Amino acid sequence: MVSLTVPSFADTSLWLEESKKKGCCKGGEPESGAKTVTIRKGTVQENTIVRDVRNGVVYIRETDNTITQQKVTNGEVSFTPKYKGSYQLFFEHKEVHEGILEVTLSTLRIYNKEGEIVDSLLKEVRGKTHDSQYGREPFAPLPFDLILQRPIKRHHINCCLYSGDIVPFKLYYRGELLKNVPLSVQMETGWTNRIAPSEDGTVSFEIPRITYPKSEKEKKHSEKMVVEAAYDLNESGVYGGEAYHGVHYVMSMPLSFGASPLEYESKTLGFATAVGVMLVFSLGLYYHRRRKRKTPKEIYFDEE
Amino acid sequence: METEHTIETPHQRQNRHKAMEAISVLNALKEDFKFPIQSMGYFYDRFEKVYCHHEPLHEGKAKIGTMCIQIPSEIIYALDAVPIRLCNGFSTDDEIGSDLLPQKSCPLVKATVGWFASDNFFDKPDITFSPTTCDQKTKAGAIIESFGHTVIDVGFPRTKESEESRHYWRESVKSFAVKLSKFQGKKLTRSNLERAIKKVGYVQSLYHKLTEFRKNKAVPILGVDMFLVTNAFFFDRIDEWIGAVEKLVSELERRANDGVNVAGKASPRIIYTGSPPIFPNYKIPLIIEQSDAIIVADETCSSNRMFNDMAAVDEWNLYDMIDSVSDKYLKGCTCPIFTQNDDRIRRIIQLVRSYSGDGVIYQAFAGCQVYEMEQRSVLAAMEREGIPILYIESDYSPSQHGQLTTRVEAFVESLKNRKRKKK
Amino acid sequence: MKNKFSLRRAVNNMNLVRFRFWFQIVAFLLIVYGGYAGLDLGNKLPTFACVYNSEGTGGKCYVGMLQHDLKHPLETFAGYAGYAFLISLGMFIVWFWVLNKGWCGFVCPLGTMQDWLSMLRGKMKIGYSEYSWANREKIKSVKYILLILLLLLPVMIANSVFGLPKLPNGLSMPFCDICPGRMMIPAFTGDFNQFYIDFSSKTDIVMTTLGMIVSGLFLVGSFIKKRFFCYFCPMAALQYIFSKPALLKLNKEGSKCTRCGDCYRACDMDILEIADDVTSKNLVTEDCTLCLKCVAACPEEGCLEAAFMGKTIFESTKEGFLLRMAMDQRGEKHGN
Repeated sequence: MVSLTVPSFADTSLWLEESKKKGCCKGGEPESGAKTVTIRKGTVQENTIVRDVRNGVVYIRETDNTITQQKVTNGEVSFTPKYKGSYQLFFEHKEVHEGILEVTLSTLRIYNKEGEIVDSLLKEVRGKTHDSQYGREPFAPLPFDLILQRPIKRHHINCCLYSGDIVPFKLYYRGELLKNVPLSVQMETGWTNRIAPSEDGTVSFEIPRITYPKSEKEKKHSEKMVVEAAYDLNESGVYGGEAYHGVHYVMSMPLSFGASPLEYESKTLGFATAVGVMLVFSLGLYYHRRRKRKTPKEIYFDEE
Repeated sequence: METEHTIETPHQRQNRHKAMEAISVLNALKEDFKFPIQSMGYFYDRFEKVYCHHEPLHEGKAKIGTMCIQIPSEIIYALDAVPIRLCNGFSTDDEIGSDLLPQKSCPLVKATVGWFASDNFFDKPDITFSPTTCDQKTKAGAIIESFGHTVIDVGFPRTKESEESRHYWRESVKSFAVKLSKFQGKKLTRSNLERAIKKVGYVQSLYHKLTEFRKNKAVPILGVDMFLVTNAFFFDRIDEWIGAVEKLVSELERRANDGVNVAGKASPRIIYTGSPPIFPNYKIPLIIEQSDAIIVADETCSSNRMFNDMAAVDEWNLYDMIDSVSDKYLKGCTCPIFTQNDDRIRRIIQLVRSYSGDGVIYQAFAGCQVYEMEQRSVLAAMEREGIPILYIESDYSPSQHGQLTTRVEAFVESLKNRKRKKK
Repeated sequence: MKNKFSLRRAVNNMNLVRFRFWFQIVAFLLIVYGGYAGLDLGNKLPTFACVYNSEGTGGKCYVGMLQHDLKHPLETFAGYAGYAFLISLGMFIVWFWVLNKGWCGFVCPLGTMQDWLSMLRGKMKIGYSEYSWANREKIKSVKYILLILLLLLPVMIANSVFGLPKLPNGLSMPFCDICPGRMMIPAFTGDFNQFYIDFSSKTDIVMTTLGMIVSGLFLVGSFIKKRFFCYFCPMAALQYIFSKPALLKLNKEGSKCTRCGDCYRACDMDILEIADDVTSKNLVTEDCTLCLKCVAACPEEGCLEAAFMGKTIFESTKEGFLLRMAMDQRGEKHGN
């Protein structure tokens, strides 16, 4: 009955996904502001909501770093963010399976665009601008954490991820950086890979750029991927009355990315235009001045 | 016994007359007033040397005649020449000039023309630049040229508010600089102009220091002495002038600390405006100060207007320095030749306020049309401000002395009464 | 008492050019690189702290924020978004009131860049250009037109105004698209990614090409004309609306003015009023950047002054003028 199995390579475990309310904004009905997150399982292309998660807990880290906990009911978690800003969600599920303590984790960042006026007054006045989703601190209540670092980009848009960006990750166990844990990636298009860490422990890969042949010129194209890491530990203990002799951590992180701006922009032309304008303008000025100059400066004046 | 009789040449006769004019004024300055200033001795000597003994000061240097204050002395100094301001106050020269100009001309212009006509200089200008300021000076250039002197006109606009004027004047100054540069066979450079601007700026700062003392309740220097100091700058060696004024400043400092007052306790403080008193035509200033009043400030082109406004340079490069010098001589100028003269009226009011003046004496040369024409508007403005003003017309002849004294004394007396009533 | 007097005297005698040069450098470091050190002044700054300089910026420009805020259906402004909008605007005004237009003359990184270019030109001994007065008058309106466009276009994306069809999304940050700050400020952190032409839609092609053209004009223009871009800056227009009650003021005592024009000569923005207006007290005009160069160039005692909350902090004095022009000594100080 329990459908939680050890995730194998190319087959993701669980992840969190923000469910989009359909047709919410058509009728002019005011939004409640509530966010609903579902627990999903399967491959990125084909997945289902897991309705029967027992012992599943979601931690919500609010913008002011306070942490609240919620039980998962019917494969869903709902919460109403108060402030404008980013909320980091962490899902945790523990179960002993065949003598192994399976700890299934997932994390998701939700950016809330609205907030109550009274609560967010101060924040609104302040105008917090550094709300980075990258390189956050390891989340204390969880022993194992997967953290997205600032991506390396070759284009101009900073807000989101795009194909072609190099995304680095870091893995932590109890606050310590893990240096030899690989990462598995699965894309919506079916591309999967296993990424080995570099010497300093960063696991990074370039989001493949050939996954959207039809949408070369479409900026709004968006694609999902799930990044996942697993970590095994020889530890024994008792959880929920069952003894275990090993711990298996797995953490997933769903991300979405767009088509690379590099597909529809030209830097060379940009520079050429700017330089061309400069040349034309400065030559124009030069000749204008030469024509206007009446005093025979060379002979009688000297700027030295 | 035979005595040798030499017949006096016209030059000698003129010089004798001029020396008499000069020495009588100098003697009056030296002897008629209490608490003489020691360091004024330099200026008395200098005037005596130049105007009584006719000793040249600038032998071996190119001397550039200027017909008005608008010819930038900074550029002249930068090109290693000496500016000689040709505005003249001698009655002797006025008489010579009278034969060459219309009867009702300005005595200053007549005297200047007369000076050239007699060709009797202590430092004869090698070339003269004449800005087209008032009609009489503008036309005088050509007359002087007819005596065989080189006179170059420098176009000067008669409005200063417009953009065109500003550009026109900047171009005029540039072309003046080119002509002078050609004449001198020397380039105008960034460093020599910068040095000259700063030097002239220092000269102006010294003048401002002198005037500061005149704001005191006890005024340590006479108005006529101040006119003498500023007049000396017309022809003096700049470095020696600076040295002498520096000494004067420190002496005045001491006098101010000691509370020396060259005037009486109740002497009315006069702001002097109008046609410029130029040595030795100190007729009106002398009458004023001999009538127990004291000139604490003036608004004339032989003194205040020459030194008041300083050039501000934003970028110390030639292009900006030349423009800056040009603007200084146009924008700050309160000469009545301009169409609008609010600035002059505002300047007089400001002088009355900051020097706590009791009254204004407005003197115009008979024949100085622009000052005569402005008289009404200035009088009206002073009336509005509640400032007593006396308007006097005079010329270089010594004849009206008695009548002028009566008028000035009456005015001074009324100011004294007014002061008493206020108390 | 004496101490205060000498401090005031020291301030009035200061070398404003040098002071401003260093002040601008510090402000530039804070605004352009402050983000690396964790500085965050919020997103309502009345100066070009460019949002595209995502890592380095020590705060964010309100004009960018404003365009972003306006791109919502009008209905939403009746509720929360309306309050948020007013709070943002209020916060912008509060920031602005502290320094008034001094944000332009002392803080704005784009203004600082222009001053550097001018300085470079001065070092190269190339004369500056000026607008003719007639053109000067004409271009005054450009900044207001830009301001109206940058306010209107985002609204017209989200709403159908006067029954017109909604505008394409490519115009969502219309001013940022053409603002040279978007290209120049990130370039100082080594990020040249903003130099590009976007071919994804017609609107984007036009806007990004305009952006490139403006960048080119900016570089050459501000080299040859002091504060070239500031004449067209919609931020200046937006600021001017709220300038009257600001705390920092530039005051003029008209009766002490001789209209010598020294201040006008020093003015990077060629503001005629500074020299010719002898009746107004408040001389912070629409184009004024409150750089205080006019105060430093004024030789009249107490004619121009910078006042903070009615208290004089820097005023023109003869002594200060002479020191700044190196006219206080007999020829010894003429080193350069």
